[in-house]
Amino acid sequence: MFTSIYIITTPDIELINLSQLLHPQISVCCHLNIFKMSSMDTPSNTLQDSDLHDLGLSDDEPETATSVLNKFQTAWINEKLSPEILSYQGDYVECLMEQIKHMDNNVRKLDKRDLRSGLHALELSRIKYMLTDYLRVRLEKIEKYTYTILEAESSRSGDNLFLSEGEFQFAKDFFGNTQTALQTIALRHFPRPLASFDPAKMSVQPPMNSYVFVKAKKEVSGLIVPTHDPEEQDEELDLEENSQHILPYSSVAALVKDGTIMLI
Amino acid sequence: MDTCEVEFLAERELISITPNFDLGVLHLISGDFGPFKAGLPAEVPLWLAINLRQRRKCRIMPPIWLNVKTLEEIKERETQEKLFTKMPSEHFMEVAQLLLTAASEDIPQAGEIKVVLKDIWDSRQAKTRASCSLLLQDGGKHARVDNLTLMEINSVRPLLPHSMDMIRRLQMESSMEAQISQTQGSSFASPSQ
Amino acid sequence: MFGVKAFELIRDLTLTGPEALPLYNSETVRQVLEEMRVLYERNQRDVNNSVNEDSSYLGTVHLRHAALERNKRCLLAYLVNRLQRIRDLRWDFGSVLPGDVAGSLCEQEVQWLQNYNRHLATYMRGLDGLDLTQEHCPPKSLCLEVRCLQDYGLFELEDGEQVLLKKDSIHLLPRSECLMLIRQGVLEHIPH
Repeated sequence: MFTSIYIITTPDIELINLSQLLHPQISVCCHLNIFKMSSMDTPSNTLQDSDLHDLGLSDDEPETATSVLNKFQTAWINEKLSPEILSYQGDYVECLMEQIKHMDNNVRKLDKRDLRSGLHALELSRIKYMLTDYLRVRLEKIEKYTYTILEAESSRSGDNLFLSEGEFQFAKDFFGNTQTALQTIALRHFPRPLASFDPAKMSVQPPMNSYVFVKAKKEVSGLIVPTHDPEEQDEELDLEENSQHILPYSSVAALVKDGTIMLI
Repeated sequence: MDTCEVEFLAERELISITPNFDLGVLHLISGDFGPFKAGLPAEVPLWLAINLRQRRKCRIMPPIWLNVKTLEEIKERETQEKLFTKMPSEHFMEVAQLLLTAASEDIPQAGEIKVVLKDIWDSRQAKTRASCSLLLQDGGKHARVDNLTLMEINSVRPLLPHSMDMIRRLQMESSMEAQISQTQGSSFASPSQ
Repeated sequence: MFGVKAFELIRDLTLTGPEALPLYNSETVRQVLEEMRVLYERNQRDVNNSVNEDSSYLGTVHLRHAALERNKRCLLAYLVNRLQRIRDLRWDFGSVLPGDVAGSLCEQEVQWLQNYNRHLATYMRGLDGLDLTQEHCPPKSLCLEVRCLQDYGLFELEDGEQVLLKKDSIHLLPRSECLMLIRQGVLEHIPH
């Protein structure tokens, strides 16, 4: 019984110095016209090189709405399956939102009986689902690991931030709100020495060692899988390109973030 | 992940249809498809194919592996081999199921196909269970799971990752206990020296 | 025995299953706080009395302290887990909870929920009209066949068309517009 109580305990209840978290947020890239909009009647939805350069999205190949969608899909699945919050894919989200808006307008102009209207609308609802689910999964993590995420975010700066501006604000609001509720219902009625908390003990940590399924997009050599038995040595693994594995998340966290490995 | 989400991903697989309408190139965000000419095959994502099929705008051409003969061969290989064999598509089971539900009239011998599919699924599930319990008995810290499809991975989630996690925690606790008893041992020993 | 009341709170939550929200147990919460006050006072008294290095009180003081910590932990777990469930209900039912559920909240929880709704709305305003509380399952089609479970009255669709939702009537409605009514129990999806 004791263990079960411990599991449902560990709330985010520590007062933390929010002012240290109030560093200026870099605004998430907000180029609204990154795409030559793929109108239903224009044949190409390729980006212009100059736009790409501005956005820092440029790899070797020209970025199209389709390739953004594919990359976003990977980011979405990674976010769904990773125990910790990953960095916010603001560029992709902004792109897809613009695409949706533009396409929405065009679909409205079509005759409802036009075959294309239903097909476009269905595609839009599919992409909207991916976007909303992506943002929703992130909010759930923010609510669950508020303290840990705010702490980690306060140590990041510039373009290394993991949260969007909106998420960051939401995290702070959520934290304050929960704090106030606990304060008014319980904490202020406690004997004074008990009304304080150790954040490291009381806040919920993402289970970084939990096991995940991964697929190697490129070859990886010398991956260390730690063992917790002092009698055994840490194992070293090579992952072939396209091979699939089950591993502790912590051993591949960095590779998930740099895109060498994807969660499946 | 929910099963419906695994299906959602499978619905992006491409499939051939024979439309009964004419339409120019369809510029979707997920790519350009068409042009469509009545009676001429065209390749589209599965979700689009199913939508058109439901509106009776096309016939679906089953993927080359979705027939009794090929599936029987796959089943044969699966039962003979100890390891998981490679399936003809990453979304093998989802695609088959979606098509059999939405367009069973377009697939010859749909009834027989369902039976073979179930055999293949069952024999792979049996392998999955056997290898999971083997992995857990060995206290393995990782495993290679090549050729498992997303649907199959999803079927052992969250049970397998959770069990491995639990074993790891127990190992950690027992090694911590060992350390504690070691330090206690030395402190008991010190007064007599 | 110490900690019994606090444990009752936890049992309250585990008995109903993770989705239901039991009535806020203000009486037991009050009793837990009272027990903590008493334990603390006794500890203070014993500590004050044992100035002259008398350590005979120490064991009792430790035990009471452990009971205090446990009460605190259980009470906070109770509250935080309730907030989590209230949050889940809000995502299921929308910003206004149905009467029977709403009655299970204490005043401060109602306040918390109002703030939560406000913060969520602020966040979603920055998303260009995406509503995160819609679309919990991948879309299969644009319209859903639904059966009406109660006499709801006229329902206006986005395009201005009006539908009369009568008990047991069957409709084909745009997915995005009837999802909330399904979750509220007005409509029922008829799967194919």
